Amino acid sequence: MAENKDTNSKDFLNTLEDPAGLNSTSDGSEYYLRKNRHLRITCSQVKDEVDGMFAINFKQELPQFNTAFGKAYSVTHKFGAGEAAYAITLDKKYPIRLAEINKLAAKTFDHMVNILAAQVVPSSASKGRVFAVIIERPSGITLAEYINKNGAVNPDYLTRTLIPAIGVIIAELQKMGITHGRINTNNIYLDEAGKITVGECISEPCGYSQPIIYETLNRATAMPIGKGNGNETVDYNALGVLAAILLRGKDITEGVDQEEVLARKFEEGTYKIVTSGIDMQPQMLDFFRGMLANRKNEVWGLNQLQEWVRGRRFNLLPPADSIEDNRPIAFNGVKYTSRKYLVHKLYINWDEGKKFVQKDNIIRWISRNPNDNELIERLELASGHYGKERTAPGFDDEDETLAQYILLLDPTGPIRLRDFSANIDGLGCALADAFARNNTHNLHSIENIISHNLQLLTHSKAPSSDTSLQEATNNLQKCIELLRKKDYGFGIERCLYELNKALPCQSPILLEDLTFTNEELLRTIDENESVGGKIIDKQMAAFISERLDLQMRVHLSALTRFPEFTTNIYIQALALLSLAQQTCNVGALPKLSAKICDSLKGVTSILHSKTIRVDLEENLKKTVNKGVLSNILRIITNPKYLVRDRIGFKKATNIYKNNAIQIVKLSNAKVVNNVGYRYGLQLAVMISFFIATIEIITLVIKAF
Amino acid sequence: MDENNENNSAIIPVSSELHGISVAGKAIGLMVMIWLISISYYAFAFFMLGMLPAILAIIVDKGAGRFGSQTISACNFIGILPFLFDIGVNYEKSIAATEAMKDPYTWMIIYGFAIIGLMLIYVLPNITAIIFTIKAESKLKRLTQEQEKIANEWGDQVRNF
Repeated sequence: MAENKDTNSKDFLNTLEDPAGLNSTSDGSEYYLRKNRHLRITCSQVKDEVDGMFAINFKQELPQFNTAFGKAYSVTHKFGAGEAAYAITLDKKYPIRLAEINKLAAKTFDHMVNILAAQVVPSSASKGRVFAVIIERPSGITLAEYINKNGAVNPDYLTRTLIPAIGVIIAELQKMGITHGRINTNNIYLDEAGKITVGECISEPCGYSQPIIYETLNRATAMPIGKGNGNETVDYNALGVLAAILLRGKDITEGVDQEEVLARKFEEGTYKIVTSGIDMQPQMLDFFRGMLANRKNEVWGLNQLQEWVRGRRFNLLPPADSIEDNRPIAFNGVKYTSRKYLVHKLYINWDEGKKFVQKDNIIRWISRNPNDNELIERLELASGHYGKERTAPGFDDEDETLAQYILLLDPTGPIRLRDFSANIDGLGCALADAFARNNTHNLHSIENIISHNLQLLTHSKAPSSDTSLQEATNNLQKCIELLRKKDYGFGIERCLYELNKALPCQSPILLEDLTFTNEELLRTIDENESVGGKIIDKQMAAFISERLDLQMRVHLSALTRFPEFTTNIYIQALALLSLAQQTCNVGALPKLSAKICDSLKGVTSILHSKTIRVDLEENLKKTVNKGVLSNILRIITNPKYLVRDRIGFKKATNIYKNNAIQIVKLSNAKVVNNVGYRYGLQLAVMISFFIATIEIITLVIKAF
Repeated sequence: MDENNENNSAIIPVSSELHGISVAGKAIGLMVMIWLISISYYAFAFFMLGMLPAILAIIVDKGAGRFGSQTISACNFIGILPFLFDIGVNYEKSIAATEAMKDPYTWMIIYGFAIIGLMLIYVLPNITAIIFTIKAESKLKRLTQEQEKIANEWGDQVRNF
């Protein structure tokens, strides 16, 4: 447990090299997303079979292990041996906790279910593939079931066995950079021998289903999908709440409205809620005060917990109320002394909040505290003036001002917009959820957060030690430019993949096939029938661009003079696919080439000349069999055809115009008749003059 | 007959616009008249009577180019010219002029040519009008086919330019 992170990383590498671990690739392919060793995925070729050892029985569901984004099924060990296990298949529309799965699979825990295997598997239950994780089956009953049946847990057992066991698990997870997020009575098992087993944490975004009472305020005020990855205090806080519930023998917040629980957390603090009315020893008081401290730096870590288990007494004071100001501020008829609580109420009552921040009440309230001059300055500067040109619907200047106020007053809390609240590192999941549920409100909210640089207001407060938060902030910074670009492969879809590295391609064409890499994507669309004649869509383009780490659209120098070609989505799509094929060294893709050639009819139709078009199409057909997309791109972007077409079209237009004028005139029968008549008259004059001349000459000759 | 002159010239360019009898023609006519007055009043009278259809045509014809009066004048002149030569070469010019005037055959010849001129301006324009109409129809057909061909090759967009 005392190992440092480097040693831990080495262990992990060693485990990866261990053929007995997840490393087995005997029956499938293997790849690393973004060349990150933690984002490793292996694929099985055999239907319903994981790692060549576990057969998933899709007909036998295990609802007791189902989670919001995972369905559990029974598993048969192929060799009839080994521990009892179950499989959990993960929702394809949500990011997989891939790094966590890989890290956990490389380690064996005594008091937590172990991950035995994880693979992308062809499924017999549904079309396509699923991501299946084989998890050790926990024995016994859940702690919730235990206290329902037996009442409070023995304090000695709690102190000597349960708390140390879970504490060690939390500490080990922390070393691996993992927040469990599901430390609660429903996910911890107790067997007849008194052995504690913590359940899995990889089947849903961190803390998605965690009841509010277990969460810290920053996570409790965020939407469940936008809680983020959390930090070291999250699980210890949950352990404190868990211990209190077990000591009491019931969860006093069970069945209570979650918003009410949150309000009580603000008003009383978690410590008071969970410990009030429990008759406990002074030793336990120390534990709860340490675990449920309001300030992050006061929350106990493993060292304090170990010392406490060994019997050290800390004599801690109860957690202080989060009162920043002695004099309260009134909002909506209620007086608040806590900024966090005020901010939460501003968020809940958004319209009233917008009006409230337009007055100077908050600034005057803050200015009573002489240490907050910088905050006052920033609040005074806060106004809706950023990124107006990129504003998504339903977000005006006043909305932006309120969002800024909320962030400035509670910089460690989630980013909050009307009916939307997510921590920075939870924005990726929230975006995936918005796409999955087609929730345009949340989609627009995230667009507004990115385009208005709202994350910058929290950035300065992100501790450098919190790598997850730093990474999320950096990704969001990157998204500002990506969102602004309107080209194929950019926009909000691109942000989705930029913020969720382990999200499979969300294109409806490929969703069932669960593709994680460009190589897989190319091979799949080569084999699949295109949906509605579409080969590629916005999601796919964004996915490819993200995997290629493209910062701007593929530049086609040959087409510089032909902007209507460079911006054509078919050409852009072909350029992307071609680049992906070259980059991934994927072999021939003849079927995809044929489909692309068909789709390019939309592009060749830009050419005016039928002959040039046919010529171009014939040349394209010749290249199809080779299956090299760059050859198709080379032909379609050959300026020779375009120049010929342009010049020819100009000439044809002139000829057509002149002909049209002549046709109009020739169609007028009266005019034509008049012209003929006039010529007849002229002819008569010429004939008569000619005869007269001949006569004169003849007479003159005769006379002389 | 020349009301659509401007349009017509746009379709088929005319080499030169004729505005009645040219200066040279007028000069010749004037010289002939001076000559006839100088040799015999009878000869002059014969000329004036002989050229009566031409004089009437010039007075009546107000159309641009005055092709009709030019044609009648030229034909009338063709008819009278041999008699003028006879008078000119005779020693007794007045007697020759009187003799010619007395002969009905002379007037038949002179006015007959004027009638031929009149026929020319009635027949020839109608024939050429028919020829032009046939040619225009043929050209129209060819141009329409060419337009179709262009549109077929270059698409409907070519029609919008």
